[in-house]
Amino acid sequence: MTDGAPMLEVDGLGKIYGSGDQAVRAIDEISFTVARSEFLCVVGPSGCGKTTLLRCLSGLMPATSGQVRVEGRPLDRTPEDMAIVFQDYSRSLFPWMTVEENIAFPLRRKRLDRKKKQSLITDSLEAVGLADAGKRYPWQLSGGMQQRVAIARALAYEPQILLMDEPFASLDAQTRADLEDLTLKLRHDYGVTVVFVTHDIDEAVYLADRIIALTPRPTRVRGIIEVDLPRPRDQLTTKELPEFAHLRGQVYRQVRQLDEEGTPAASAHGS
Amino acid sequence: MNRRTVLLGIQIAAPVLVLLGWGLWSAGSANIFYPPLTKILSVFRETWLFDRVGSDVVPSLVNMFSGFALSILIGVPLGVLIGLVRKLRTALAPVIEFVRAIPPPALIPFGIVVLGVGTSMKVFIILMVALFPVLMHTIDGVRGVEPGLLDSARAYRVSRRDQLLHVVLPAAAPQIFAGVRVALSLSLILMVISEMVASTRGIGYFILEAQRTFAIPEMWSGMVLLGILGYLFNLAFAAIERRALRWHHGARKGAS
Repeated sequence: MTDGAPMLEVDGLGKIYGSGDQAVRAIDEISFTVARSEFLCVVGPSGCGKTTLLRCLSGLMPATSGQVRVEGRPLDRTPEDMAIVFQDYSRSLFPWMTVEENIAFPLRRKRLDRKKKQSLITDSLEAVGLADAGKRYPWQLSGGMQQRVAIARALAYEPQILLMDEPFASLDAQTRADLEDLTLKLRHDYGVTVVFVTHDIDEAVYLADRIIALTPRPTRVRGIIEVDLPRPRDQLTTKELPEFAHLRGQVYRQVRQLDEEGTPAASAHGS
Repeated sequence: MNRRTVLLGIQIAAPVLVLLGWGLWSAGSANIFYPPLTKILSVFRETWLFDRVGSDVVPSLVNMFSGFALSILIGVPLGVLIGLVRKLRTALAPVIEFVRAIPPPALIPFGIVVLGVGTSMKVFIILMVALFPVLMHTIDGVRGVEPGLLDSARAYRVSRRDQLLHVVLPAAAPQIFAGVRVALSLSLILMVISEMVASTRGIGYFILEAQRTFAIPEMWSGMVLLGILGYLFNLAFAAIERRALRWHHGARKGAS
Protein backbone atom coordinates (compact mmCIF):
# COMPACT_ATOMS: atom_id res chain seq x y z
CA MET A 1 0.00 0.00 0.00
CA THR A 2 1.49 3.29 -1.08
CA ASP A 3 -0.24 6.08 0.81
CA GLY A 4 1.56 8.83 -1.02
CA ALA A 5 0.56 7.59 -4.46
CA PRO A 6 -2.04 9.55 -6.40
CA MET A 7 -5.48 7.98 -6.66
CA LEU A 8 -5.07 7.36 -10.37
CA GLU A 9 -1.99 7.55 -12.58
CA VAL A 10 -2.15 7.27 -16.33
CA ASP A 11 1.29 6.77 -17.77
CA GLY A 12 1.88 6.85 -21.52
CA LEU A 13 -1.44 5.17 -22.27
CA GLY A 14 -2.01 4.26 -25.92
CA LYS A 15 -4.67 2.23 -27.69
CA ILE A 16 -4.65 0.80 -31.19
CA TYR A 17 -7.67 -1.08 -32.50
CA GLY A 18 -7.04 -3.90 -34.94
CA SER A 19 -3.67 -4.64 -36.50
CA GLY A 20 -1.78 -4.33 -39.78
CA ASP A 21 -3.48 -2.21 -42.44
CA GLN A 22 -6.69 -2.19 -40.48
CA ALA A 23 -5.08 -0.71 -37.38
CA VAL A 24 -6.70 2.43 -36.01
CA ARG A 25 -4.73 4.48 -33.55
CA ALA A 26 -7.44 5.66 -31.19
CA ILE A 27 -5.24 7.01 -28.42
CA ASP A 28 -1.74 8.12 -29.26
CA GLU A 29 -0.31 8.81 -25.83
CA ILE A 30 -2.01 10.11 -22.74
CA SER A 31 -0.50 10.77 -19.33
CA PHE A 32 -2.04 12.46 -16.31
CA THR A 33 -2.64 11.89 -12.63
CA VAL A 34 -5.70 12.35 -10.45
CA ALA A 35 -5.28 13.30 -6.80
CA ARG A 36 -7.35 11.80 -4.02
CA SER A 37 -10.82 13.41 -3.82
CA GLU A 38 -10.19 15.41 -6.97
CA PHE A 39 -12.95 16.05 -9.49
CA LEU A 40 -11.38 15.69 -12.92
CA CYS A 41 -13.27 16.30 -16.12
CA VAL A 42 -12.09 14.95 -19.46
CA VAL A 43 -13.35 16.89 -22.47
CA GLY A 44 -12.62 16.56 -26.15
CA PRO A 45 -14.17 16.86 -29.60
CA SER A 46 -16.68 14.15 -30.46
CA GLY A 47 -15.13 10.91 -31.60
CA CYS A 48 -11.85 11.68 -29.87
CA GLY A 49 -11.71 8.42 -27.96
CA LYS A 50 -13.04 9.64 -24.61
CA THR A 51 -14.97 6.45 -24.11
CA THR A 52 -11.96 4.41 -25.21
CA LEU A 53 -9.90 6.22 -22.60
CA LEU A 54 -12.45 5.52 -19.91
CA ARG A 55 -12.67 1.85 -20.81
CA CYS A 56 -8.89 1.62 -20.54
CA LEU A 57 -8.92 3.47 -17.21
CA SER A 58 -11.50 1.06 -15.82
CA GLY A 59 -9.77 -2.09 -16.99
CA LEU A 60 -12.73 -3.07 -19.15
CA MET A 61 -10.38 -2.92 -22.13
CA PRO A 62 -6.63 -3.52 -22.16
CA ALA A 63 -4.45 -0.62 -23.30
CA THR A 64 -2.01 -1.26 -26.15
CA SER A 65 0.79 0.59 -24.42
CA GLY A 66 1.46 2.43 -21.20
CA GLN A 67 0.09 1.76 -17.77
CA VAL A 68 -2.75 2.75 -15.48
CA ARG A 69 -2.16 2.63 -11.74
CA VAL A 70 -4.82 2.95 -9.06
CA GLU A 71 -3.32 3.90 -5.68
CA GLY A 72 0.04 2.79 -7.05
CA ARG A 73 -1.16 -0.67 -8.13
CA PRO A 74 -1.10 -1.50 -11.85
CA LEU A 75 -4.54 -2.20 -13.18
CA ASP A 76 -5.49 -5.48 -14.80
CA ARG A 77 -9.26 -5.52 -14.33
CA THR A 78 -11.66 -3.08 -12.73
CA PRO A 79 -10.34 -2.60 -9.21
CA GLU A 80 -12.47 -3.29 -6.19
CA ASP A 81 -12.71 0.34 -5.14
CA MET A 82 -13.76 1.70 -8.52
CA ALA A 83 -17.33 2.16 -9.70
CA ILE A 84 -18.55 3.24 -13.12
CA VAL A 85 -21.63 5.13 -14.25
CA PHE A 86 -22.19 4.57 -17.96
CA GLN A 87 -23.81 6.93 -20.43
CA ASP A 88 -26.60 4.62 -21.48
CA TYR A 89 -28.49 3.81 -18.28
CA SER A 90 -30.99 1.68 -20.22
CA ARG A 91 -28.12 -0.64 -21.14
CA SER A 92 -26.34 -0.64 -17.85
CA LEU A 93 -29.19 -1.37 -15.44
CA PHE A 94 -30.56 -4.90 -15.53
CA PRO A 95 -34.21 -4.73 -16.64
CA TRP A 96 -35.13 -8.03 -14.95
CA MET A 97 -34.03 -6.77 -11.56
CA THR A 98 -35.85 -4.25 -9.39
CA VAL A 99 -34.03 -1.08 -8.44
CA GLU A 100 -32.97 -2.64 -5.14
CA GLU A 101 -31.79 -5.81 -6.81
CA ASN A 102 -29.78 -3.78 -9.29
CA ILE A 103 -28.03 -2.03 -6.44
CA ALA A 104 -27.55 -5.24 -4.47
CA PHE A 105 -26.16 -7.24 -7.39
CA PRO A 106 -22.59 -5.81 -7.33
CA LEU A 107 -22.55 -6.28 -3.55
CA ARG A 108 -22.92 -10.07 -3.75
CA ARG A 109 -19.17 -10.51 -3.89
CA LYS A 110 -18.57 -8.34 -0.86
CA ARG A 111 -20.20 -10.87 1.46
CA LEU A 112 -21.83 -8.25 3.65
CA ASP A 113 -24.35 -9.19 6.29
CA ARG A 114 -27.99 -8.49 5.50
CA LYS A 115 -28.31 -5.46 7.69
CA LYS A 116 -25.24 -3.74 6.30
CA LYS A 117 -26.32 -4.53 2.76
CA GLN A 118 -29.83 -3.22 3.31
CA SER A 119 -28.54 -0.03 4.87
CA LEU A 120 -26.19 0.56 1.91
CA ILE A 121 -29.12 0.17 -0.47
CA THR A 122 -31.47 2.38 1.53
CA ASP A 123 -28.85 5.07 2.12
CA SER A 124 -27.73 5.25 -1.48
CA LEU A 125 -31.31 5.44 -2.76
CA GLU A 126 -32.00 8.18 -0.27
CA ALA A 127 -28.85 10.02 -1.34
CA VAL A 128 -30.06 10.19 -4.94
CA GLY A 129 -33.60 11.10 -3.90
CA LEU A 130 -35.26 7.82 -4.81
CA ALA A 131 -36.05 6.42 -1.38
CA ASP A 132 -39.43 5.07 -2.54
CA ALA A 133 -38.38 3.53 -5.84
CA GLY A 134 -36.62 0.41 -4.51
CA LYS A 135 -39.28 -2.09 -5.48
CA ARG A 136 -39.84 -0.71 -8.96
CA TYR A 137 -38.20 -1.80 -12.17
CA PRO A 138 -35.80 0.52 -14.03
CA TRP A 139 -38.05 0.64 -17.09
CA GLN A 140 -40.86 2.00 -14.93
CA LEU A 141 -38.73 5.08 -14.21
CA SER A 142 -37.86 8.13 -16.30
CA GLY A 143 -34.40 8.47 -17.85
CA GLY A 144 -33.20 10.84 -15.16
CA MET A 145 -34.43 8.51 -12.42
CA GLN A 146 -32.73 5.56 -14.06
CA GLN A 147 -29.45 7.42 -14.10
CA ARG A 148 -30.01 8.22 -10.42
CA VAL A 149 -30.36 4.49 -9.82
CA ALA A 150 -27.08 3.90 -11.66
CA ILE A 151 -25.45 6.50 -9.42
CA ALA A 152 -26.99 4.90 -6.32
CA ARG A 153 -25.61 1.55 -7.44
CA ALA A 154 -22.16 3.11 -7.72
CA LEU A 155 -22.45 4.74 -4.27
CA ALA A 156 -23.61 1.57 -2.52
CA TYR A 157 -20.49 -0.11 -3.87
CA GLU A 158 -18.49 2.30 -1.66
CA PRO A 159 -15.86 3.17 -4.24
CA GLN A 160 -12.78 5.33 -3.72
CA ILE A 161 -12.94 6.39 -7.32
CA LEU A 162 -15.94 6.96 -9.53
CA LEU A 163 -15.70 6.97 -13.33
CA MET A 164 -18.55 8.62 -15.18
CA ASP A 165 -18.83 8.29 -18.96
CA GLU A 166 -20.94 11.15 -20.34
CA PRO A 167 -23.56 10.17 -17.78
CA PHE A 168 -25.99 13.01 -18.50
CA ALA A 169 -25.59 13.25 -22.28
CA SER A 170 -28.99 11.80 -23.09
CA LEU A 171 -30.99 13.72 -20.49
CA ASP A 172 -32.92 16.97 -20.87
CA ALA A 173 -31.37 20.22 -19.65
CA GLN A 174 -33.31 20.51 -16.39
CA THR A 175 -32.68 16.90 -15.32
CA ARG A 176 -29.09 17.34 -16.33
CA ALA A 177 -28.60 20.38 -14.11
CA ASP A 178 -30.23 18.55 -11.18
CA LEU A 179 -27.95 15.55 -11.60
CA GLU A 180 -24.85 17.76 -11.94
CA ASP A 181 -25.69 19.30 -8.58
CA LEU A 182 -26.39 15.88 -7.14
CA THR A 183 -23.00 14.65 -8.35
CA LEU A 184 -21.25 17.63 -6.72
CA LYS A 185 -23.10 17.06 -3.46
CA LEU A 186 -22.30 13.36 -3.41
CA ARG A 187 -18.65 14.06 -4.17
CA HIS A 188 -18.67 16.42 -1.20
CA ASP A 189 -20.51 14.04 1.14
CA TYR A 190 -18.68 10.85 0.20
CA GLY A 191 -15.28 12.40 -0.57
CA VAL A 192 -14.96 10.19 -3.61
CA THR A 193 -12.50 10.86 -6.45
CA VAL A 194 -14.36 11.49 -9.69
CA VAL A 195 -13.21 11.17 -13.30
CA PHE A 196 -15.99 12.59 -15.42
CA VAL A 197 -15.93 12.31 -19.20
CA THR A 198 -18.08 14.77 -21.12
CA HIS A 199 -18.24 16.62 -24.42
CA ASP A 200 -20.09 19.51 -22.78
CA ILE A 201 -17.65 22.30 -21.92
CA ASP A 202 -20.08 24.15 -19.61
CA GLU A 203 -20.67 20.99 -17.68
CA ALA A 204 -16.95 20.34 -17.36
CA VAL A 205 -16.18 23.86 -16.08
CA TYR A 206 -19.13 23.77 -13.68
CA LEU A 207 -18.14 20.45 -12.12
CA ALA A 208 -14.37 20.17 -12.24
CA ASP A 209 -11.39 20.98 -10.10
CA ARG A 210 -9.30 20.39 -13.19
CA ILE A 211 -10.08 19.78 -16.83
CA ILE A 212 -8.08 17.72 -19.29
CA ALA A 213 -8.73 18.70 -22.90
CA LEU A 214 -8.01 16.07 -25.52
CA THR A 215 -7.11 16.39 -29.20
CA PRO A 216 -8.98 14.55 -31.98
CA ARG A 217 -7.75 11.08 -32.96
CA PRO A 218 -5.14 9.89 -32.42
CA THR A 219 -5.80 11.37 -29.04
CA ARG A 220 -3.24 13.24 -26.96
CA VAL A 221 -3.59 15.61 -24.05
CA ARG A 222 -4.13 19.05 -25.54
CA GLY A 223 -4.04 20.99 -22.32
CA ILE A 224 -4.81 20.89 -18.62
CA ILE A 225 -6.88 23.69 -17.13
CA GLU A 226 -7.18 24.39 -13.42
CA VAL A 227 -10.69 25.40 -12.43
CA ASP A 228 -10.45 27.51 -9.28
CA LEU A 229 -14.08 28.58 -9.13
CA PRO A 230 -15.37 28.82 -5.56
CA ARG A 231 -17.34 25.96 -4.02
CA PRO A 232 -20.12 25.16 -3.34
CA ARG A 233 -21.09 25.86 -6.91
CA ASP A 234 -24.49 26.98 -8.04
CA GLN A 235 -26.13 26.70 -11.44
CA LEU A 236 -26.92 30.41 -11.47
CA THR A 237 -24.26 32.32 -9.56
CA THR A 238 -21.30 30.17 -10.57
CA LYS A 239 -22.20 30.38 -14.21
CA GLU A 240 -22.58 34.18 -13.96
CA LEU A 241 -19.02 34.65 -12.71
CA PRO A 242 -16.68 36.31 -15.19
CA GLU A 243 -14.13 33.61 -14.35
CA PHE A 244 -16.62 31.00 -15.50
CA ALA A 245 -16.94 32.65 -18.91
CA HIS A 246 -13.19 33.02 -19.11
CA LEU A 247 -12.52 29.36 -18.27
CA ARG A 248 -15.24 28.27 -20.64
CA GLY A 249 -13.55 30.19 -23.45
CA GLN A 250 -10.18 28.77 -22.52
CA VAL A 251 -11.42 25.20 -22.62
CA TYR A 252 -13.38 25.85 -25.79
CA ARG A 253 -10.25 27.07 -27.57
CA GLN A 254 -8.32 24.03 -26.42
CA VAL A 255 -10.99 21.64 -27.59
CA ARG A 256 -11.58 23.36 -30.91
CA GLN A 257 -7.86 23.96 -31.36
CA LEU A 258 -8.24 27.70 -31.78
CA ASP A 259 -5.58 30.22 -30.86
CA GLU A 260 -6.27 33.32 -28.76
CA GLU A 261 -7.73 35.26 -31.71
CA GLY A 262 -10.20 32.51 -32.42
CA THR A 263 -8.68 31.31 -35.70
CA PRO A 264 -7.68 27.68 -36.11
CA ALA A 265 -4.18 27.10 -34.88
CA ALA A 266 -1.51 26.08 -37.41
CA SER A 267 -0.61 22.90 -35.54
CA ALA A 268 -1.81 20.92 -32.58
CA HIS A 269 0.64 22.83 -30.42
CA GLY A 270 0.17 26.19 -32.05
CA SER A 271 -1.49 28.27 -29.33
CA MET B 1 -69.22 -2.33 -22.92
CA ASN B 2 -65.58 -1.50 -23.20
CA ARG B 3 -63.22 -2.58 -25.94
CA ARG B 4 -61.73 -5.40 -23.92
CA THR B 5 -65.05 -7.12 -23.29
CA VAL B 6 -66.01 -6.76 -26.95
CA LEU B 7 -62.74 -8.36 -28.05
CA LEU B 8 -63.13 -11.15 -25.50
CA GLY B 9 -66.69 -11.72 -26.73
CA ILE B 10 -65.48 -12.01 -30.32
CA GLN B 11 -62.74 -14.38 -29.19
CA ILE B 12 -65.29 -16.69 -27.61
CA ALA B 13 -68.01 -16.25 -30.22
CA ALA B 14 -65.86 -17.12 -33.25
CA PRO B 15 -65.04 -20.74 -32.30
CA VAL B 16 -68.64 -21.26 -31.11
CA LEU B 17 -69.89 -20.11 -34.50
CA VAL B 18 -67.44 -22.42 -36.28
CA LEU B 19 -68.66 -25.36 -34.19
CA LEU B 20 -72.27 -24.38 -34.80
CA GLY B 21 -71.65 -24.13 -38.53
CA TRP B 22 -69.91 -27.50 -38.57
CA GLY B 23 -72.76 -29.02 -36.55
CA LEU B 24 -75.46 -27.67 -38.89
CA TRP B 25 -73.56 -28.58 -42.04
CA SER B 26 -72.84 -32.14 -40.89
CA ALA B 27 -76.19 -32.81 -39.20
CA GLY B 28 -77.81 -35.85 -40.77
CA SER B 29 -74.78 -36.39 -42.98
CA ALA B 30 -74.79 -39.82 -44.59
CA ASN B 31 -71.26 -39.46 -45.96
CA ILE B 32 -69.18 -41.82 -43.87
CA PHE B 33 -66.08 -39.61 -44.17
CA TYR B 34 -67.86 -36.61 -42.70
CA PRO B 35 -69.97 -37.95 -39.84
CA PRO B 36 -72.30 -35.55 -37.99
CA LEU B 37 -70.53 -33.46 -35.38
CA THR B 38 -72.89 -34.77 -32.73
CA LYS B 39 -71.74 -38.28 -33.56
CA ILE B 40 -68.08 -37.24 -33.32
CA LEU B 41 -68.70 -35.57 -29.97
CA SER B 42 -70.49 -38.52 -28.47
CA VAL B 43 -67.69 -40.82 -29.68
CA PHE B 44 -65.24 -38.32 -28.22
CA ARG B 45 -66.93 -38.59 -24.84
CA GLU B 46 -67.01 -42.37 -24.92
CA THR B 47 -63.43 -42.64 -26.09
CA TRP B 48 -61.48 -39.92 -24.37
CA LEU B 49 -63.53 -39.25 -21.19
CA PHE B 50 -61.82 -41.22 -19.80
CA ASP B 51 -61.74 -44.66 -21.30
CA ARG B 52 -58.49 -44.42 -23.24
CA VAL B 53 -56.75 -41.82 -21.12
CA GLY B 54 -54.62 -44.36 -19.29
CA SER B 55 -53.95 -46.57 -22.28
CA ASP B 56 -53.27 -43.96 -24.99
CA VAL B 57 -53.29 -40.33 -23.85
CA VAL B 58 -50.96 -40.68 -20.88
CA PRO B 59 -48.28 -42.72 -22.71
CA SER B 60 -48.41 -40.27 -25.62
CA LEU B 61 -48.01 -37.25 -23.39
CA VAL B 62 -45.28 -38.89 -21.33
CA ASN B 63 -43.31 -39.40 -24.55
CA MET B 64 -44.00 -35.91 -25.70
CA PHE B 65 -42.99 -34.21 -22.49
CA SER B 66 -39.94 -36.43 -22.01
CA GLY B 67 -38.66 -35.40 -25.43
CA PHE B 68 -39.66 -31.80 -24.89
CA ALA B 69 -38.06 -31.60 -21.44
CA LEU B 70 -34.87 -33.22 -22.69
CA SER B 71 -34.70 -30.74 -25.55
CA ILE B 72 -34.66 -27.92 -23.00
CA LEU B 73 -32.28 -29.66 -20.59
CA ILE B 74 -29.82 -30.32 -23.39
CA GLY B 75 -30.55 -27.39 -25.70
CA VAL B 76 -30.23 -24.52 -23.22
CA PRO B 77 -26.89 -25.46 -21.59
CA LEU B 78 -25.41 -26.52 -24.92
CA GLY B 79 -26.69 -23.35 -26.56
CA VAL B 80 -25.19 -21.18 -23.81
CA LEU B 81 -21.85 -22.95 -24.19
CA ILE B 82 -21.83 -22.64 -27.97
CA GLY B 83 -23.05 -19.06 -27.78
CA LEU B 84 -20.26 -18.05 -25.42
CA VAL B 85 -17.36 -19.93 -27.00
CA ARG B 86 -16.63 -18.66 -30.46
CA LYS B 87 -14.33 -21.51 -31.45
CA LEU B 88 -16.96 -24.05 -30.53
CA ARG B 89 -19.49 -22.16 -32.61
CA THR B 90 -17.25 -22.13 -35.66
CA ALA B 91 -16.50 -25.83 -35.26
CA LEU B 92 -20.06 -26.98 -34.65
CA ALA B 93 -22.01 -24.75 -37.02
CA PRO B 94 -21.71 -27.02 -40.11
CA VAL B 95 -22.54 -30.12 -38.08
CA ILE B 96 -25.61 -28.51 -36.56
CA GLU B 97 -26.80 -27.21 -39.90
CA PHE B 98 -26.39 -30.67 -41.43
CA VAL B 99 -28.27 -32.58 -38.75
CA ARG B 100 -30.94 -29.91 -38.68
CA ALA B 101 -31.48 -30.19 -42.41
CA ILE B 102 -32.49 -33.87 -42.24
CA PRO B 103 -36.30 -34.07 -42.40
CA PRO B 104 -37.35 -35.44 -39.00
CA PRO B 105 -39.45 -38.43 -40.18
CA ALA B 106 -36.35 -39.69 -41.98
CA LEU B 107 -34.85 -40.27 -38.54
CA ILE B 108 -37.53 -42.81 -37.66
CA PRO B 109 -36.05 -45.80 -39.52
CA PHE B 110 -32.70 -45.08 -37.89
CA GLY B 111 -34.39 -44.74 -34.51
CA ILE B 112 -36.14 -48.08 -34.93
CA VAL B 113 -32.93 -49.84 -35.87
CA VAL B 114 -30.96 -48.40 -32.99
CA LEU B 115 -33.57 -48.07 -30.26
CA GLY B 116 -36.31 -50.51 -31.31
CA VAL B 117 -39.98 -49.61 -31.56
CA GLY B 118 -40.54 -48.70 -27.92
CA THR B 119 -40.75 -45.54 -25.93
CA SER B 120 -37.10 -44.56 -26.23
CA MET B 121 -37.30 -44.40 -30.02
CA LYS B 122 -40.27 -42.03 -29.81
CA VAL B 123 -38.64 -39.83 -27.20
CA PHE B 124 -35.48 -39.79 -29.30
CA ILE B 125 -37.36 -38.65 -32.39
CA ILE B 126 -39.16 -35.90 -30.47
CA LEU B 127 -35.93 -34.79 -28.85
CA MET B 128 -34.02 -34.71 -32.13
CA VAL B 129 -36.57 -32.35 -33.60
CA ALA B 130 -37.42 -30.18 -30.60
CA LEU B 131 -33.74 -29.73 -29.71
CA PHE B 132 -32.83 -27.48 -32.63
CA PRO B 133 -35.19 -24.56 -32.11
CA VAL B 134 -34.17 -24.46 -28.44
CA LEU B 135 -30.49 -24.73 -29.33
CA MET B 136 -30.50 -22.16 -32.14
CA HIS B 137 -32.55 -19.62 -30.23
CA THR B 138 -30.39 -20.02 -27.15
CA ILE B 139 -27.22 -19.47 -29.18
CA ASP B 140 -28.73 -16.35 -30.76
CA GLY B 141 -29.98 -15.11 -27.41
CA VAL B 142 -26.62 -15.54 -25.72
CA ARG B 143 -24.78 -13.87 -28.58
CA GLY B 144 -27.23 -11.01 -28.58
CA VAL B 145 -26.79 -10.04 -24.93
CA GLU B 146 -26.43 -6.27 -24.74
CA PRO B 147 -22.67 -5.60 -24.34
CA GLY B 148 -23.44 -2.72 -21.97
CA LEU B 149 -25.01 -5.14 -19.50
CA LEU B 150 -21.92 -7.35 -19.56
CA ASP B 151 -19.71 -4.27 -19.10
CA SER B 152 -21.75 -3.31 -16.07
CA ALA B 153 -21.37 -6.76 -14.57
CA ARG B 154 -17.65 -6.88 -15.32
CA ALA B 155 -17.03 -3.38 -14.03
CA TYR B 156 -18.59 -4.38 -10.71
CA ARG B 157 -16.49 -7.53 -10.59
CA VAL B 158 -19.48 -9.84 -10.68
CA SER B 159 -18.26 -13.46 -10.65
CA ARG B 160 -18.38 -15.51 -13.85
CA ARG B 161 -21.03 -17.70 -12.32
CA ASP B 162 -23.27 -14.77 -11.40
CA GLN B 163 -22.68 -13.21 -14.81
CA LEU B 164 -23.93 -16.39 -16.40
CA LEU B 165 -26.89 -16.99 -14.09
CA HIS B 166 -28.03 -13.43 -13.52
CA VAL B 167 -27.00 -11.58 -16.66
CA VAL B 168 -26.53 -13.87 -19.67
CA LEU B 169 -29.42 -16.26 -19.00
CA PRO B 170 -32.06 -13.64 -18.17
CA ALA B 171 -30.93 -11.47 -21.08
CA ALA B 172 -31.25 -14.45 -23.44
CA ALA B 173 -34.51 -15.63 -21.87
CA PRO B 174 -36.89 -13.96 -24.35
CA GLN B 175 -35.11 -15.72 -27.21
CA ILE B 176 -34.93 -19.01 -25.33
CA PHE B 177 -38.66 -18.87 -24.65
CA ALA B 178 -39.33 -18.27 -28.33
CA GLY B 179 -37.32 -21.40 -29.14
CA VAL B 180 -39.06 -23.44 -26.48
CA ARG B 181 -42.42 -22.39 -27.83
CA VAL B 182 -41.52 -23.76 -31.27
CA ALA B 183 -40.15 -26.91 -29.62
CA LEU B 184 -43.46 -27.41 -27.82
CA SER B 185 -45.55 -27.51 -31.00
CA LEU B 186 -42.93 -29.63 -32.78
CA SER B 187 -43.02 -32.09 -29.87
CA LEU B 188 -46.76 -32.58 -30.30
CA ILE B 189 -46.38 -33.09 -34.05
CA LEU B 190 -43.54 -35.57 -33.67
CA MET B 191 -45.40 -37.39 -30.91
CA VAL B 192 -48.17 -38.16 -33.40
CA ILE B 193 -45.82 -39.05 -36.26
CA SER B 194 -43.72 -41.35 -34.10
CA GLU B 195 -46.88 -43.21 -33.06
CA MET B 196 -48.01 -43.79 -36.60
CA VAL B 197 -45.07 -46.07 -37.29
CA ALA B 198 -44.56 -49.42 -35.58
CA SER B 199 -46.66 -48.58 -32.59
CA THR B 200 -49.34 -50.28 -30.54
CA ARG B 201 -50.70 -47.45 -28.48
CA GLY B 202 -50.92 -43.68 -28.24
CA ILE B 203 -53.14 -41.03 -29.79
CA GLY B 204 -51.38 -41.14 -33.15
CA TYR B 205 -51.71 -44.92 -33.25
CA PHE B 206 -55.38 -44.65 -32.32
CA ILE B 207 -56.15 -42.24 -35.18
CA LEU B 208 -54.36 -44.36 -37.75
CA GLU B 209 -55.97 -47.56 -36.47
CA ALA B 210 -59.43 -45.96 -36.52
CA GLN B 211 -58.90 -44.88 -40.11
CA ARG B 212 -57.76 -48.36 -41.14
CA THR B 213 -60.81 -50.00 -39.57
CA PHE B 214 -63.20 -47.40 -41.01
CA ALA B 215 -64.07 -46.12 -37.53
CA ILE B 216 -64.29 -42.64 -38.99
CA PRO B 217 -65.99 -40.85 -36.05
CA GLU B 218 -63.25 -42.26 -33.80
CA MET B 219 -60.61 -40.94 -36.19
CA TRP B 220 -62.23 -37.52 -36.08
CA SER B 221 -62.44 -37.62 -32.29
CA GLY B 222 -58.67 -38.20 -32.13
CA MET B 223 -58.05 -35.18 -34.32
CA VAL B 224 -60.31 -33.07 -32.14
CA LEU B 225 -58.44 -34.27 -29.06
CA LEU B 226 -55.08 -33.27 -30.58
CA GLY B 227 -56.44 -29.85 -31.44
CA ILE B 228 -57.65 -29.35 -27.89
CA LEU B 229 -54.36 -30.56 -26.38
CA GLY B 230 -52.27 -28.32 -28.64
CA TYR B 231 -54.43 -25.35 -27.78
CA LEU B 232 -54.21 -26.01 -24.03
CA PHE B 233 -50.42 -26.45 -24.15
CA ASN B 234 -50.06 -23.14 -25.91
CA LEU B 235 -52.28 -21.41 -23.38
CA ALA B 236 -50.29 -22.85 -20.49
CA PHE B 237 -47.03 -21.92 -22.14
CA ALA B 238 -48.17 -18.37 -22.81
CA ALA B 239 -49.16 -18.01 -19.16
CA ILE B 240 -45.76 -19.23 -17.95
CA GLU B 241 -43.97 -16.99 -20.41
CA ARG B 242 -45.96 -13.91 -19.44
CA ARG B 243 -45.00 -14.49 -15.85
CA ALA B 244 -41.34 -15.28 -16.44
CA LEU B 245 -40.79 -12.46 -18.92
CA ARG B 246 -42.89 -9.84 -17.21
CA TRP B 247 -39.89 -7.49 -17.19
CA HIS B 248 -39.36 -8.01 -20.90
CA HIS B 249 -42.91 -7.16 -21.89
CA GLY B 250 -42.94 -4.23 -19.47
CA ALA B 251 -39.64 -2.86 -20.75
CA ARG B 252 -40.76 -3.19 -24.35
CA LYS B 253 -44.02 -1.43 -23.64
CA GLY B 254 -42.13 1.30 -21.84
CA ALA B 255 -39.76 1.78 -24.75
CA SER B 256 -42.38 2.10 -27.44
